Amino acid sequence: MRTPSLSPPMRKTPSAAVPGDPGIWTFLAADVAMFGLFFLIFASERVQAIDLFEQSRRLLDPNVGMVNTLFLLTSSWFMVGAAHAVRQRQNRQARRFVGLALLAGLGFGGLKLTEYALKIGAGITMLTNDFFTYYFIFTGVHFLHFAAGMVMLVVLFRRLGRVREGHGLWTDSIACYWHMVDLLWLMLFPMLYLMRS
Amino acid sequence: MLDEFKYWRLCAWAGPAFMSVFIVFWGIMGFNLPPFSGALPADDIAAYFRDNANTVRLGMVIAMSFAVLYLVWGLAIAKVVRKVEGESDILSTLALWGAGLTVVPILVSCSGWLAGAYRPESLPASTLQLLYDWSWLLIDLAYSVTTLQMVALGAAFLSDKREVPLIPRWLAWYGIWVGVSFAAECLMPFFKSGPFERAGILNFWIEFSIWFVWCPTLTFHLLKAIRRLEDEKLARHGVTRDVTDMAPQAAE
Repeated sequence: MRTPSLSPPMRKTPSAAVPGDPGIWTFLAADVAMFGLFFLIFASERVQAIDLFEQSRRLLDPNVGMVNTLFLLTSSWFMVGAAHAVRQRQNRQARRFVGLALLAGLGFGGLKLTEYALKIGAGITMLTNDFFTYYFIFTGVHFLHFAAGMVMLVVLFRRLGRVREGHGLWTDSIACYWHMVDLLWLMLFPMLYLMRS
Repeated sequence: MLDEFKYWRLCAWAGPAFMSVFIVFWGIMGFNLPPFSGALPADDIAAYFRDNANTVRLGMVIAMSFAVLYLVWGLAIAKVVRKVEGESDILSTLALWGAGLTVVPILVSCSGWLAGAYRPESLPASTLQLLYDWSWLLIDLAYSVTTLQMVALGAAFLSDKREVPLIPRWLAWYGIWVGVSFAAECLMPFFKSGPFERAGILNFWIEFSIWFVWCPTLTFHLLKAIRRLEDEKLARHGVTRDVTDMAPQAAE
């Protein structure tokens, strides 16, 4: 039998089951599904032009991709720290973590933009061939996700500086989104930089 | 039941009505579902206009006549948004303008296809191809007005402070995601084949499907929300649904 005193915690159960706003998981799931589709499209186009894709892939520097992977993973790791600190109501500590996450993110952004600039400077664009169409569009869509995440981190950084409490849901939601950004990169990096014929 | 909500409900049904008309008359009769590939030669486009002139004419005439239903649907949503956002009316205004402006590119691009079907026998193939291309470029690249509507109403429904929100939060997030993902249409002018062209798997099949899922789903929850608002209003007047026939029409 349900007692009235039990109902509020029972209602909270869904939000306790997943971190952040439960609704945002629809957004994240849809996004990951979209990138899953990107992967399928890339794989099916690749088998039709393996040589072209392999030659083009060799023009990408896997070291740059690897350093960028580390930047994003480090940034995500700092966000885990921030979420924990907010839960323990240590907003100053959380703010420091968000700041570090932002710095690591800047590393990714700077390196990615440099990589784009070098490619375009070398005459390689979205319209060069099918491989670079996918390279520029998929990493470009990912970069837009990244840029939106950086804006959210800046907003969170400012908010944590102003009010003492009540940022748990915000921090968790942004941290979930930020994890998705690096998860998507972990799909793109091997697909574009590493997959050999 | 209160008269006020009768019209809200009627407006909410304009969404599925718009979608049905759009699929049948713009999509099937207009041969736009899916569109011809950007790689199709001008002579083939010309043959399509010449062989199916009357079908396309009828399809576009009906599609243009009912395009305004999108604004009507947008108003039903904006009314519910208004109940969520309280004193401010900025998000409901943005959502309504977004819905209203969505009607414009639909009307204008349909007139492009209609112009192609008007006297196709005396127009050169390249002109007919231009009309077809131009109509598709317009309807795809005008995405931002619809995105405005989707993001504004999504943001409003996310700020709903009710214990059980009027519109579920996952649906608000889904709408925002669909609206933002329309930005993929920016790629369409650069490609004549592959997944990003106007008939491609991403730029046509995915982008249109996710919207076609959103519209009826939102309408379903919108009708539920309207019923809740009606119940709340009845409760404020101390009336239950069973005896509403005896209740005076409440004005607020």
